[in-house]
Amino acid sequence: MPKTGSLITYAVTRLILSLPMLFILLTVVFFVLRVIPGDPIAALLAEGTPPYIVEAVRHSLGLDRPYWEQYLVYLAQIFTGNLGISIGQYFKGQSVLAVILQRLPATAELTIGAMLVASIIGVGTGLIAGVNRDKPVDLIVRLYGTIIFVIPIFWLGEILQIVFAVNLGLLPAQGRFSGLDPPATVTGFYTIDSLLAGRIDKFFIALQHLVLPCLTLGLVLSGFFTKTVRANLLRTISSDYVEAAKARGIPRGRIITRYALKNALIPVVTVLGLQFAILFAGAVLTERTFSWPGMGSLLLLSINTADYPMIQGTIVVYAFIIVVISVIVDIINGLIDPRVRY
Amino acid sequence: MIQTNTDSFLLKAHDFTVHYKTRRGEAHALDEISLEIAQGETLGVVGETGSGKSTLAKAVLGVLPPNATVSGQIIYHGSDLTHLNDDTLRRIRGKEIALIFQDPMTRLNPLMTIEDHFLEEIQAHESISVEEARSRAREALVSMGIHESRIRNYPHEFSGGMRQRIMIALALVLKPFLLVADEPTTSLDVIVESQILEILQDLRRVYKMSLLLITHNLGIVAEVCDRVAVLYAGKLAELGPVRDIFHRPIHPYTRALLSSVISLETKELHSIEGSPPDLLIPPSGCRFHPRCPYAQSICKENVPPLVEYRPGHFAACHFGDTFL
Repeated sequence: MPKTGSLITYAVTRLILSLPMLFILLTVVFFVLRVIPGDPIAALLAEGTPPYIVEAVRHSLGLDRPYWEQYLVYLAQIFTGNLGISIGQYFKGQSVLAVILQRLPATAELTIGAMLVASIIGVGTGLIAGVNRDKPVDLIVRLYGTIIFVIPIFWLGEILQIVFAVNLGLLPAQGRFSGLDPPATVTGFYTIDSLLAGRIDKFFIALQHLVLPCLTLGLVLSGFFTKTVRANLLRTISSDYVEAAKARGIPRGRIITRYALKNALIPVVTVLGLQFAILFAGAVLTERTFSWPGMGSLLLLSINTADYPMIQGTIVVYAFIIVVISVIVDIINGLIDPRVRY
Repeated sequence: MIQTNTDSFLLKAHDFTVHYKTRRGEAHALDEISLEIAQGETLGVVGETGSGKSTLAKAVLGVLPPNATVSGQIIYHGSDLTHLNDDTLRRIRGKEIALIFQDPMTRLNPLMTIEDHFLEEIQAHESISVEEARSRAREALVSMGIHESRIRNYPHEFSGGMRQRIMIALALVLKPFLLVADEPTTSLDVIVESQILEILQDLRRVYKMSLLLITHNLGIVAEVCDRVAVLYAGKLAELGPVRDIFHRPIHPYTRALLSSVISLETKELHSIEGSPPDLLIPPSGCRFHPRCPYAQSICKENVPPLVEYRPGHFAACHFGDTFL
């Protein structure tokens, strides 16, 4: 039995505690989708369809049964990995889960890439600004943080497209892949699949397509990260333990990394994680600008075509992702901060 | 009692001044303070909140906040601490001059074990093996009455008194020449307080260490100190041997301070009329004059010089002679 305060005990506890959270989220998703106005059957059938056909379709979809019965069926289906069949015009008859699993890797690649860009730039600039408080470099970084934060994503995306794709011709402007056939699907991640297939050329094609969307989304996010890191760093730099470390003659570099930055990262990790989860719900604007076949555009498409099973399935998948990411964030915080592990 | 010989001082402040730039103007935290500490001596610094005690402690270590401007000198081993470069000063901090703070709860890095605090500090100053550093860390911790099995624990797993003992162990592990203790027992309960004072006195005897003890507790001063400096609103009001200060105080502020201690015999408690001055606009002349029952017009106009009224007993009062 590991003692209290060990990371493993903490992680296991945290995992178990996430189950009720998941259950609550799924319940909310179910009821919200049934409370909002709109009738899936009406959207599905043409106007003037005879009422007996409407009723028959309603019955075949199970929508004539009481809510509690529908709810139990919904939960049972989710836990057997069945998210239903699409009724929208684009994916009619296809498994919702299959469509989502096709889209999810595209979103994951974009999100992870953008988070990498945003974290590196955000933590880097935030650190430089915080350490050099009120010096010119701090003012420049703060100005950058504010400007990049308010720039519209589609505008920045188009500028980057014009410069790097159109004028310089260095990078593709749109899509996930071009030229050769996409790599055989194993994980759905083109970068990983091409490496698994041993095709470095395909890997670089996939990577090239990732650069502009990730850069666009990452840059816009980095403004917020910069501000968060800077603000937290200023707080820890003026803390009592930093002053005490200085008085013990600890070298400045070590005080910045081991004392100020590490302590400042605890709230930053939480904010970063939340942002990560939000991005998974699809960066609609980025996806549209770069014709990226991700989750955001899927959700938009499903809403426009009143594809209720697809909408529900997408949101259920988000619920899972949010729960998983919050568990990961908590475990990372537990790794950094011993006080969290109790 | 150790005789004070001004030629063999370890640290000497000369016309030392610290001002803080604030949004409302310049705060005169310390004004032209001159005092010295001899080898092995314990100098107490007393005064009210805002009298500049903590500023003095931090100034000795050179860890004042960035909005502080310093003038005057602090001479230590022949060099002026206020003019040393950052790296030289860093090597002195912790190794030769150590500081313990008032509030032990927030002074340790919550993300590091106690052992890491020790190792980091020892290795910042001495190039010895990790093994040797480890055993010295354990030794220092045990000497403060904390079991060595707890060295891998994190700060939040200790009580306030234990954390202060850890802070003292950290301050002493490199055997400094001077320990600056800024209200080391204020946030602790009375039993822990007396333990810590005992520890400090033992250490002085063993290591012949000098101690600059900053406190507002006159009882501690009477018990532990050789000499006392009384600060009022950033100015040195009186400085002298502990017996003289307690039995034959000169400055009206010192007298008022001493009578503000509750006495068991009379159960009377005197307080000093008025409140400490605003350091942004300190009173002209003698800073104590608005609250001084004996103030004359000269006190408002001229700053009283620090005069030696008895051997080693200084006071800054225009009417010092009449209070002898």
